[in-house]
Amino acid sequence: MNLSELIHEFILALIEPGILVGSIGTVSFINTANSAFSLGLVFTCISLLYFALNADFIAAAQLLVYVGAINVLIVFAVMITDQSVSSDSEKCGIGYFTALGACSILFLTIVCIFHKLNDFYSSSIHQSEYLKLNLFEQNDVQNIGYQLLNKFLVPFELASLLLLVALVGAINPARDED
Amino acid sequence: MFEKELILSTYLVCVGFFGLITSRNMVRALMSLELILNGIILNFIIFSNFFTNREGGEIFSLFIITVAAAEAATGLAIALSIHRIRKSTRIDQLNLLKW
Repeated sequence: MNLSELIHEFILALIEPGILVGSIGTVSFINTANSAFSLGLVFTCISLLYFALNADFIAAAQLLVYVGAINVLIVFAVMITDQSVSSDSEKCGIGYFTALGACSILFLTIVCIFHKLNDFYSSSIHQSEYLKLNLFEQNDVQNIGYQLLNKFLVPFELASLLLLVALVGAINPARDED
Repeated sequence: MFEKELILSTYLVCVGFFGLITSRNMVRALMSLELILNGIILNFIIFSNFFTNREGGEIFSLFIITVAAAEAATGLAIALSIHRIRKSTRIDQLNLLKW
């Protein structure tokens, strides 16, 4: 392995345990505030993973939108709905273990499918060729902006309309009416 | 060849799905929904990294981020207004429209 592959593997080996542990912490902390901060850790590690996957605009957008806006919104909502210690135990029922078994079966099924597909497609393109393709990148952010206003214009305008409607629709139930 | 990252995105979707169906708190269910959407965005970025023409995967990921932000805001506003009326955010107490 040459140096760039080694650096790539090292970065991935640092970031992926953060995602694995953080996502388990999100669904299994009893305190909801701990769960919200663990979700922030997952979002940050995913954003660093996008930097390692050559998607730098999406990494910046993920950091701004998810960590900076959605995670802050979730932490606000956790602190306002003041249920930090859930009085009922969510764990160790029969439904919990059934859901755990069903989700693990789903995960193992999809991993088996990926493993079988990997045997088909790993011979069609070699690893060094795959890394060599990513060295010739055009100006990526400029290309995204150009395509957003040319080929993807209608979804772009619809997304802006959706954000306006969501803004009005989210303010109205949450407003303190006196 | 990028099987490890695909396994990571599958893991995020499965953990988010598990948190969504076993959570009794409304805010925790919305957090697990954000985990699912992040797993899906990671899947798109992995495949857009594989092809040289990477505009489709990244632009669609931008739209997924936009829609996720809109539904997180709307869902949390609904959770807040329910908490204001009923003083609890348990999901199984929202059964007024049940037959």
